[in-house]
Amino acid sequence: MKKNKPPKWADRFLKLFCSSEYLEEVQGDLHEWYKIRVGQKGSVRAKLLYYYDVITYIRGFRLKRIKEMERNNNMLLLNYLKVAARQFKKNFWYSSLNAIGLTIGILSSLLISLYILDELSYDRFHVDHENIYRLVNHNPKSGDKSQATPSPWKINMGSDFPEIKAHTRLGQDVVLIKQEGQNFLENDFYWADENFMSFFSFEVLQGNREIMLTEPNSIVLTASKALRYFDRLDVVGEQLPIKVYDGNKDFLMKVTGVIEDLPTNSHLQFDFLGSMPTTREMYGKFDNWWGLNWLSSYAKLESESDLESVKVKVPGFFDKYQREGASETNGIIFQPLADVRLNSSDISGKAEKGNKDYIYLFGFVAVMILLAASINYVNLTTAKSSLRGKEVGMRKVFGGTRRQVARQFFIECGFQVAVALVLAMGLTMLVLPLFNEVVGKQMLPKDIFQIPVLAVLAFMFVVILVLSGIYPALVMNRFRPVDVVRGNMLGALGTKSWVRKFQVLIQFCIAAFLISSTLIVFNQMQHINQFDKGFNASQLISIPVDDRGMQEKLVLIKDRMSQVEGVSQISASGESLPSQMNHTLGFSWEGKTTEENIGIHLVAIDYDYLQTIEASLLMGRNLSKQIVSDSVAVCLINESAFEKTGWESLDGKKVGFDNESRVVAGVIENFHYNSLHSTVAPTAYVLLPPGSRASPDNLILRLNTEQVTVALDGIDEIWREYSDQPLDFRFVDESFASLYGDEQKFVKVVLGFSIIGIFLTVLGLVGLVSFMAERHSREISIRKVLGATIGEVLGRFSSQFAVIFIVAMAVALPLSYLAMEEWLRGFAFPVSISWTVFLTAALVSILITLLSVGSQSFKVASSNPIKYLSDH
Amino acid sequence: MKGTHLGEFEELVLLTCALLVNSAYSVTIGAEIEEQTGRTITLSTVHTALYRLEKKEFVESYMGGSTGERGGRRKRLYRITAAGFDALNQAKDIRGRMWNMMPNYKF
Repeated sequence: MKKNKPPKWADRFLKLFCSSEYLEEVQGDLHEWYKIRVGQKGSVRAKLLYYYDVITYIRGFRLKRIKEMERNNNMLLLNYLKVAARQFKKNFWYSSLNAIGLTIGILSSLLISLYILDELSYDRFHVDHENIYRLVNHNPKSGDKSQATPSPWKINMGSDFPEIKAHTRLGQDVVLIKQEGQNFLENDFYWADENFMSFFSFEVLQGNREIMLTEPNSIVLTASKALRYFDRLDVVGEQLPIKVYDGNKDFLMKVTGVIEDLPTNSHLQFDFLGSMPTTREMYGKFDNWWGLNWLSSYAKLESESDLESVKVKVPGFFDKYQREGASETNGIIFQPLADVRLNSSDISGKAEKGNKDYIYLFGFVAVMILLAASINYVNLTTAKSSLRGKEVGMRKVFGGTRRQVARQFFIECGFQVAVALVLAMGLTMLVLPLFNEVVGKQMLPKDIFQIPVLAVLAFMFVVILVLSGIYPALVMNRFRPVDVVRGNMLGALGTKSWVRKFQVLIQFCIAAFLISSTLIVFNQMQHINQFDKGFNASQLISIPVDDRGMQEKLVLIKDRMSQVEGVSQISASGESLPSQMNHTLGFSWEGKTTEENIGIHLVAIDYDYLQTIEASLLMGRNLSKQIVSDSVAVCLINESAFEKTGWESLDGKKVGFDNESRVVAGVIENFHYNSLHSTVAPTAYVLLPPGSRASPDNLILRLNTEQVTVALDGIDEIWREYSDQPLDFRFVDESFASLYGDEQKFVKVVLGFSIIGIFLTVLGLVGLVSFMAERHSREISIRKVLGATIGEVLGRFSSQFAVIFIVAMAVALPLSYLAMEEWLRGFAFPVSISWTVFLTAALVSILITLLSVGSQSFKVASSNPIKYLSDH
Repeated sequence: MKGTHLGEFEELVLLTCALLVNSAYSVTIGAEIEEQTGRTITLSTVHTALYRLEKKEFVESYMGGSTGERGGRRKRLYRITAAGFDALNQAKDIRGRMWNMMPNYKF
């Protein structure tokens, strides 16, 4: 049989109007008829006739009954939208409040989502990033973790770990670039292994990726630096003279490559890469020096499954090279590249670190804002829709079914939420540049269209839609139309006010939670700023002396500067302030019983150090010029080191650092040489002559308050006699503040968003309460007619909220306490959470409630009762 | 009863229905009428007629079994009722009576 079927469209059309009772029969007959027609008259005419036949079937008695029509709702769509628009106009104030709240909520959480996604995207742009690991130098006993690794790891790893496909290292060095008689200090200069560029996937603009770092004296620069020094990008083959500060050496580097500026979501941020072979010339045998922890190491494995077999071999690896200097207490942590950004808070070393705690905090705030905005929307929408009983009744009287009414409410909500979503997306694109500036990122408007963001948006849409649509769809639907149309609204509505009360409860919770958490975050930031560091940082400046030549003459320079007017104290030190502590040695002491390998920071100082920074001695004495042996055989230790030893007194006891031991003359009270995220580690202060790595290379000066500029001028004058470098001084208190710079910025952003969240909850409360006041306007008016005073009415009305309020506080405040305690654990020195915070939160919440409840009910209570009582 | 009147087309349909024992449904009826009268039939007119007849209880319908044809859709088969047969007879009698009264015409 030929596959000659009647036209589909005609069949569909038939289905549209023909009652299902007859459909089967009629369709069957028509098909058969059609077949006969095809035989008689050919398929074209048969088809035309088929259409004609179908049309002739439109006869009253075979049409669908209205009951059967209910699924065809599309005709009503326009009507729904029209009604929605009219509702919006009618309740313009509520509706715009509602729409604005929702838009702000979505906007805020969208921005936060973008931020979090950006944080999570760090380092994922490298090809094969799942198999790249950063090697973290780990001391399992002391728990110390550092990104600085011994250089011989690379040399030996290839043979000892066949699973490691490639291994690369890089190390920072401050250099001076000489150009046209001027010198430019470049901080982000790194020496990198030959294979560095092929190991990672940074974008190469000029030069051959494979060989650009293989030759000595090769340099690779970023596009912006190429433009800075040469004004163009095709600079391969050009020469760039550099001077390495630490090695005090000059090189004439040849440019072998230009790369794209690094993406902001890379934890590695460099401007220049020098080829590692160059450094061998300068630092000699560093490649085989187990004691030198300088370079960051990265390894690439064949596949993830190799990780376990690599880990197993680590102890054997260190045993094998023990004779050459490998420490048996060493360990290696293989940190996945994608974890480096957010999971490095306990790893010491420079790299820009993100903070997971902040990500959680931020995400949490986003959820809160979204929750507040959604609840607002749902609340106001449902409140408003409960006034539409008559409309629902009429629709039902005219044959609308439950499903249709539910559909109508969903379509209406869906339309509003969709508009808010689109608006929020547009606004996000508009404010993104501003947001970027505040959080220090470079996110692009097109990032909104990432799949995860769209998924979040879709999720929001569905959740808000379901929550806001379900109440009117279900509850409103249950009314009997007769009740509603007759005006028996109260009977129809029933008492579903507990739903609304519950929502108010949640609003209160969010408000109280956000207020108290915000206050605690704020307190913590204040706490950090005002924390007693253990020394006096004001009017203290720190000058790095990176030039080896100058370091030799440091004593002389110091003496000359001490003569300058306005300089009250001066000291030379091996560490700047704030300090990362660059020299750590094995720590031992008399009576040490534990096998534990403990490190101690070594800081070179001079006799004036303690007076200059105004740190105080806990016991013993300061180093003294009068005692000759002090300069070679004596040291000071800090409180932390003293506690480690477990001694009760000093009595000329000795401590050892690696191979050297010194008598402890005094114990310095702990002072914070770095940010409060880290604790004060055991530290020893010694006198060291110039020439070693740990020798003094910083000047620390205290200036007189009134003579700061005079003093700086004098210092600069002396500086210029010794150096062709500009004087690079920093105020210590400012440097400390800048340690928290990112944090402070971030916290401000979080605070900003919290305030938005609080604002939204208040908005919701006001809207809801005013709605309730309106609903109760008759009740209030009747009470007034019967003699109640305004105060009584207000009290009665407000007391409704008292119970909700108390429950909300009882839920929110403990939760906030727990959450913030957890968050504060990320700080070494957390502020103690004081009860006043919660009192404040409760008071502010009460105030908000009273203001919103009071103002709205006052409006009704103070107006003439007749206004609400007369029939309108 | 007003409903017992038989229209011209209805009568045709009812007749055909009586002829086609056990296989009377719209398509066969329509085809038979086309064949017998040479008129072109629209299926829906046949249907309409059948439904009217059914309402007047001149025919009764039952659903046939589903077959592989017509996409497995069942047919609604019709058979004439006693009342239907009476109605046909009546119509025929009326006509016969009137024919007998007919004067002779010569055209």
